[in-house]
Amino acid sequence: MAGIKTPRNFRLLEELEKGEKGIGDGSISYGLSDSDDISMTNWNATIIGPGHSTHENRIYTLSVECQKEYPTKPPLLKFISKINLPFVNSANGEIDVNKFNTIKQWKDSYTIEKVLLDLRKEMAAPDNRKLPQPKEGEYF
Amino acid sequence: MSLSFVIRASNDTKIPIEINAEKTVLELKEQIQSINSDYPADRLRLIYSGKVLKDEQQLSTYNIASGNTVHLVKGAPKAPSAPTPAPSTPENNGVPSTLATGAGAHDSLIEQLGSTRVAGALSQQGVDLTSPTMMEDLMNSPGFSESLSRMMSDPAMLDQVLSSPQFASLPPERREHMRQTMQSPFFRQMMSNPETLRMMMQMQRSMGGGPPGGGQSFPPPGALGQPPNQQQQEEQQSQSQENPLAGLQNLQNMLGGAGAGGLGGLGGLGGLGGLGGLGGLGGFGGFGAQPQSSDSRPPEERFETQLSQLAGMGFTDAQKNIRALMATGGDVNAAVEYLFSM
Repeated sequence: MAGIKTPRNFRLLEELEKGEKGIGDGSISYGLSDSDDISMTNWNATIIGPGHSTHENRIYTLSVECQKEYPTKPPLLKFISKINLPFVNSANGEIDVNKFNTIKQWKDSYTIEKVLLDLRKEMAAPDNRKLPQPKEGEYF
Repeated sequence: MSLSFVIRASNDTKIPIEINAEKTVLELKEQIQSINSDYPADRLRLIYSGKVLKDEQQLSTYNIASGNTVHLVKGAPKAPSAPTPAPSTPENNGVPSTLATGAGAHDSLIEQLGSTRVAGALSQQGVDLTSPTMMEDLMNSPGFSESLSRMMSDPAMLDQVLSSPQFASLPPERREHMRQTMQSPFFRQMMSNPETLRMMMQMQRSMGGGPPGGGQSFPPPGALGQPPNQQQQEEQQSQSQENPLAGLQNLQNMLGGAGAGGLGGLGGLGGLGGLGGLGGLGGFGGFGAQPQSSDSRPPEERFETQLSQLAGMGFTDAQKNIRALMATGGDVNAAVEYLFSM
């Protein structure tokens, strides 16, 4: 299968449909920022903070940008809600490409869903789950 | 224009909605509340397609298509005064987050009790591990105490428990002491009598003063998942000579260790610690030790492989799957059985 490029829009349409139908238990959600955006570049996402952590019961919003080269190249992610995580730039909420493995070792089979689920996993990781967090409702 | 879509709550409750697109998000929340009073409008947060829906917006703004899913998250009750104070993090008072939230504590209780064998046996006896009255049910279940006392009186089984990692570090004399305690008629009588167990629970509750005030006699809440350390046990040993009730705590502590849960840390729920330990015993020590270890990751993550296996088998309800895996300590086969029996 190597060498076959997934057409970007095909993939994104598929992802969009899945996002709107609702994934799993709703711990993550995503969709287009502007449903009229035919280029499907800018997306909104939410992650519900995992239980047993300082993120519990919080809703984090993020922006996801799928550029032209997606899914060959990873999407750009940025937290809109303030959050304290080692791989998130504390000034602007951007995710540090080199500190977050899913992006660092990006494969074109990965999806927005996968990135969000992995982020949520990181929030619940032993090193991160007890990090003090800014008040809910603050934004970068 | 009328919209029809599904509201899905985190516990997988689905609420079908028919609503005019001109209505606001707040009106939608009120409609949800009128359908199911468990979801008071002022505590609801709705998410669609990566956006948190704003109360004052019309639903049409969000282009919710027919058949789509809107996720619902129930927040904590709103504090009476605005602005809301920063939510105190569980760590502030030294209570692990598992204990700080009702649901969490409940889950972890199931987890502590979880061993394939016990869960399987219990579900056969009609004990619903997920019911809040589970402990009561457990106490009243005739088979439970009986099988416990059978296990206790089997020396081979005790050997196995005592050679589990939790006890391996103890000096042989102490292990021998434990064996004697467990084999003593008093202990067995106590374990096989639901009335006594219940009394123990009540006693613990009244003495412990509720979580997290367990004090010295309990392992500190933070010690959840660690076997009670030796010093602590020795301490209790000496206490037990002066105070007959401390003996019970000692016992409970020991059992907690056997289950690797150290659930004794639940403080006010202390009495359950004994049972948490028994869950471990039911799993024959070695097994009982595994599912809990000191794994603090959320169940979704811990059981990731198992969950995907279950999903592959066509069990699509993630919440139920997690519950089943927690109840069975991560054993997929047992979880399947459990799911079928639900």
